[in-house]
Amino acid sequence: MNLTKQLKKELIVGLLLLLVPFFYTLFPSNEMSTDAKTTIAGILSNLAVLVFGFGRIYGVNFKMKLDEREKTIVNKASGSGVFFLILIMFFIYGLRNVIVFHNHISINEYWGFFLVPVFLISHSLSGLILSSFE
Amino acid sequence: MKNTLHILRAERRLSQDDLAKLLDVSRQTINAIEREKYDPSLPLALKIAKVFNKKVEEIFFLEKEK
Repeated sequence: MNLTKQLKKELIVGLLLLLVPFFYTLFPSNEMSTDAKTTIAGILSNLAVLVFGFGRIYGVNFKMKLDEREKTIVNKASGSGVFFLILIMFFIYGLRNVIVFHNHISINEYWGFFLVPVFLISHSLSGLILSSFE
Repeated sequence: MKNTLHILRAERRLSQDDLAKLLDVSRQTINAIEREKYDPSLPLALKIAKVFNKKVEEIFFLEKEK
């Protein structure tokens, strides 16, 4: 499978994982007690991020057989991907009390869930842009 | 850097995919080399020269040389 296809897959997984924090907030934890729904939602959210997110990062960066041009593109995409990750996460963290989900829950404690999807999206978009120019 | 890869490939009636398989690279890499968007590494240039039974400088050259 070529690099462009892998990067498109990575972008789709990133966009899907972006929905995880929204899914998580459908079942907000009760301050007094943690109910089963919250626990299940938490486990599913974490599993989705771990399995699909890290699976994709591992797949593109370590498992795929790349030629010299593709390796250069992946290296450049990783650099710019991390740059945009830091930039976007900085804004998300800064605005964590301002940005509010659908049911009046602010990002606050869920901001960490954006880490993997934001990386996947910035890495794949950088890779796709770079591969179209090089 | 200029190259005559597309001419040599046409002479041998090889598709980009065929050449990519011979060189163990992706078709996109062959396309990028032909369109002079990517300069291959020395090992890849040597491999290409070996496939076409030519010297590297006969395939790849600087623009001023021609």
